[in-house]
Amino acid sequence: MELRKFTRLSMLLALSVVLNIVENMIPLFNGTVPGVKLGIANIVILFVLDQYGFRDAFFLSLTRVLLVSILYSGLFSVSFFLSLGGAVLSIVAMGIFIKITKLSTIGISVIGSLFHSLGQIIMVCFMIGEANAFFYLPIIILFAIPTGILTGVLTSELIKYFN
Amino acid sequence: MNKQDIILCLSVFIIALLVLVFIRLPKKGNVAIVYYDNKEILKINLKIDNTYTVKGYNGDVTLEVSNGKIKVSDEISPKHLCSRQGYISNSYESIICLPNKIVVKIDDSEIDAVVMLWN
Amino acid sequence: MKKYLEYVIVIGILLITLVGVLIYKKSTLKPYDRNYFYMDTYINVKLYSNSENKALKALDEIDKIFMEYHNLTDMYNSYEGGLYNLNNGSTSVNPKLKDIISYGYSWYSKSDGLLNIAIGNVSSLWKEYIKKEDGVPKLSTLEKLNINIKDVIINDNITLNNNVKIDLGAIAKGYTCDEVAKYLKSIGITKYIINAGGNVLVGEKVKEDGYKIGIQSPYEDDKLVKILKISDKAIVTSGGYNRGYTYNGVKYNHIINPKTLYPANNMLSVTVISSSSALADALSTTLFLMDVETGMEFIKAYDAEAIWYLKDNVYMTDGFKNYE
Repeated sequence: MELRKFTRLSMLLALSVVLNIVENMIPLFNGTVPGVKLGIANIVILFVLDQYGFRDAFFLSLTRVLLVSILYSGLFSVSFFLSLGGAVLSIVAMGIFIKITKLSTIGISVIGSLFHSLGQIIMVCFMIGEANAFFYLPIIILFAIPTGILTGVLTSELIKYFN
Repeated sequence: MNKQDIILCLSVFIIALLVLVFIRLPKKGNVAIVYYDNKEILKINLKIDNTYTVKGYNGDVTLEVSNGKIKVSDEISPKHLCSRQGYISNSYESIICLPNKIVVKIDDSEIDAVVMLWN
Repeated sequence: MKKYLEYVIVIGILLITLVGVLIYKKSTLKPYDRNYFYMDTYINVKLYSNSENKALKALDEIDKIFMEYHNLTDMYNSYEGGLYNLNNGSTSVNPKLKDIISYGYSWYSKSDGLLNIAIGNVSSLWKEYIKKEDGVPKLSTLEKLNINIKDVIINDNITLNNNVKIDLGAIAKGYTCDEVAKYLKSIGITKYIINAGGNVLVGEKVKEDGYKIGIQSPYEDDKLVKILKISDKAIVTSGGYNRGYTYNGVKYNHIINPKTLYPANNMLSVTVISSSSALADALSTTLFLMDVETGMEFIKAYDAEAIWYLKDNVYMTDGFKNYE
């Protein structure tokens, strides 16, 4: 990988880690409805997906989860596994949908948001066998749509600016 | 934003809404069951206001029953996520306390009341 | 500008749908319930209403109703116009208490003397023994106590002669539940469950199947022997040894037979279903004091169904299976 690209990706990785941590500090519904978040770190993931392709976005996403857990939430903690599940499902889904549909950046962002939430709930089920967690799915989805749109809009503006 | 985006958003939104409105059958239960690491450790009668303490993974977890509802009132965990989940009373709600491996569910045996041998 | 129009339209549709759903949710019947503790029983009343305000006010009012009847029928604490005062020489009685006493009085002849509200002196003595769990009152002592119903004179007022005392335990809860139901009906709340321990009263059904009411097993404490699907009825059980005691290996419950002066021993429990809670309460007490055969004949005169649980047998009226 050429140096320039590597440097760029490193900076983007750092940015996504910072955004992730900052977002965790905002007490937005963080208690009452578990699983609802702004997902602004996804702006970076989406940007990388658009500019550099699936492979780079995938690894950036995983590394982000790893770094955030080391720096903030605790390596191999509960939070780590939840984030991992969400991030993996999210990036894979985005990768698939970007290939097979004509969704714009915004639509892909919504997909990413939805599957991130889904991934987290699936992880909760795996970890403590609690199928009742799916009860929260409708509410989380309802919130995932506008946050997905928001991050999608921001990302698409970002992409336009860069091109 | 193109047509596909709009179709995606609207259809997901509507489906989630429909699920929320119709598939939920809130049934108020009379008994709460507390699980530790997936094993049932305590059954609580929700009709009697009381406080209970159970051992969670990180330490003691205190549960409070008030007016037929139950919530986690105290716990040892970094973000106190469980106590922020508030009261539950329907069989489709649950309190999931991942750090402490505690789950509180409402017994959904669907019995509205039991005629007791008191008189 | 045109691009943003798309966003506005999408968000607008989302908002309108959300608002529409919220309005729909607001107009549906929601359950509201509350716990009370009166007449020595944990009571839970759950009612269904589309107005939170109305429901909460109703639950407040029901608290007052239970409290009032609790005070009036309380045998151990003094309240103006209440039973304690009446039993201890007072001449004035609250009209509501008078109504209950009259109702109970009417059951003396109906039950051939088995349901006797004048049993106060005997039931009180037994209650002492139940509390102490030590010994059994002697028959000779019991016989000396006055439980003559004729010493209860009901005209404009109520007069008790010869130290006779009234115990309304057999009908007080049932009667009060009926009063609560009457109140709910008067304010237009028709769907509810009043759960007062051994007395359950349900209103119009909320779901297809009606309310699912379990009958506690007289054989094993934490099991149910039956699950009824029922609405618009009162279900009352008499029996059990929760309020009794065991002495010298013999179990004594708290329902005293006025003729033998000892607790009844014919069955483990009997559950009655009828549209009035007071009737179900009186019937279940009466049936508990009769043997099953007599009881099955007796209940034919009433619009009620019953199920008897004996140690080795179960009996029920023909119509009972309609509720299973």
